[in-house]
Amino acid sequence: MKPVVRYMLLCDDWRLDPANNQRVTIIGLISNIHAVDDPPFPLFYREMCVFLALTDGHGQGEGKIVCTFEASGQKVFETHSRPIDFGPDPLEVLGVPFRIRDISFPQAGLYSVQFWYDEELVEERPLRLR
Amino acid sequence: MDKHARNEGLRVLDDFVCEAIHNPAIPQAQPNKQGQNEGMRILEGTVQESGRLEDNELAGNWMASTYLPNGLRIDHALTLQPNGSFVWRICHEGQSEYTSRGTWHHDHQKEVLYFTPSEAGPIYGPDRPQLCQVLQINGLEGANTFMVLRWGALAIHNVPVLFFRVHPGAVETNATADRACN
Repeated sequence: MKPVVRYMLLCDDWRLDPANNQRVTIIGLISNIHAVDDPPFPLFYREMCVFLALTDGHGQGEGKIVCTFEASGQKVFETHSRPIDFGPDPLEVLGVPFRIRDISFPQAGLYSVQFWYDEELVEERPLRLR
Repeated sequence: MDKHARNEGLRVLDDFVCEAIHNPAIPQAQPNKQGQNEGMRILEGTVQESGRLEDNELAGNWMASTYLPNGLRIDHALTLQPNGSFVWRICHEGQSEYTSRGTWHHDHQKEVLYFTPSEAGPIYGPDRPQLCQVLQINGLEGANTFMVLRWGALAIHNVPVLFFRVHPGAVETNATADRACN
């Protein structure tokens, strides 16, 4: 059974409040990435975080991030799967972070950053490279 | 005394750090060809007072039915808005309808709900609020789905009225109350 995605944020970083390890601060929301060098592509992006807040989850499953190029549907990269344990309360909102390093974007255009849970697409966010 | 609230946050799993696993069919970038987060254009922030907010415990849409001694059913559709306004629609089974609108206030110490109609009605009006004693607000764990009120009046057959919450979490304007009798 798929969880419900309350938030799916692409960002530079995320942090927990030292005074309360359940309060999350998101740093540097990402919607567009632009090339710095010339020629611009393929482009290297050192690190990107995907922060998910999931709810209505049951039991355990595995989640991963997949990125595709919209125009072709071709998979550009993915992460390893991580285990996600929702615990006994399905109403709980659970933070699930991914920190993805050393990403190559082959060309300019629109990409889709997707969250997959147990081999099923759950949610996606657009990411534009230019 | 004001009641303060705090962002509870959420349980967060450990950071999951991994290198991107690239499709070998696509060309790979050199680490010196950097990209940069563009950020986004942000409109100027505004700070607004939310006005008088009544307690969320009672805010929402409620329905109840009561019965007259002759068996006639009376349906109640009550919408308590967080901004302190209310709509209370009362339908006598197949006979008549009455809608009251105005402001509501919950006295926590006395556990009394005050309904002050914006227009004068047959009994209550702007200078004469209707009082209801809050006997219970309860329900399933974490969700206040039942509310028991008793009219604040000396009257026979003044039995408590059990309201149940409808459309949990969605506090509408007048729509729910207006739909209830249709």
